[in-house]
Amino acid sequence: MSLYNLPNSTAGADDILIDTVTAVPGLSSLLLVFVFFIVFLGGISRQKARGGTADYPMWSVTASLSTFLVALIMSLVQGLIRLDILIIVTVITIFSGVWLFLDKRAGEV
Amino acid sequence: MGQIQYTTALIMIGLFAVAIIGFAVNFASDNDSPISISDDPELVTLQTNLEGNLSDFRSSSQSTYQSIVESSIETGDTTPSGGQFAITPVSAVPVAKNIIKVGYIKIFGTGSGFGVFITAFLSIIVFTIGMYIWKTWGGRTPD
Repeated sequence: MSLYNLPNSTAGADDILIDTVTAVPGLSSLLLVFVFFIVFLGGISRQKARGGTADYPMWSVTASLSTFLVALIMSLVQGLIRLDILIIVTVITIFSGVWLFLDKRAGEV
Repeated sequence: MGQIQYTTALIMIGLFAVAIIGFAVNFASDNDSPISISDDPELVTLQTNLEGNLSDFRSSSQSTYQSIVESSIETGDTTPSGGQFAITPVSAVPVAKNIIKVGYIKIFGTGSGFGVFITAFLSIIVFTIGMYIWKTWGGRTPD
């Protein structure tokens, strides 16, 4: 008895991903979280290292837009991402924009 | 934050939200993707409501600017009326409107849903110009 079923890769690379997501449903959302924090924390730390301060709302918009585009591309394939996750990503993107536009340093936007 | 900054931020939030939702919905319909946020009724309702809010802002900012143009200073040794401010913008508005209309139709077509962006954005610019003139004229800080 095998520990898990090997994914069928004859139909293309996306079938492997879909089989993996079917086995581990949290994969797609964790992938999106990974993309978000790579851009968010990476951008903040590099900007702090260079300039001393970091623009948090700007980086959250950049990170959430990157996540949003990845989520949109994932929505092209059935079974890769669920509708509620896509909605959550959309709402986070909009709220990041709200944070950016209502930031105190409005003259900088 | 001042009045102009706050208004601009709120309108930009509306435009940003409509742009994000509209982009995601059009992405889904263009690419025939199985997961589409247009399947979510609440976000679609939000987009419709935001477009209505932005259209309301357009008409109300027009009337605000008109009232600024028609205002006058009663006494004092400053200019007695807003005539110098009033005549030029009011005459220039139809000219600018016609020029912008041609460019808009050529670029975005007629009856496009993108119209709400251009009209709301132009309304912000007109509103900001009006508030600058008004507040500077009244001796306040335009912010």
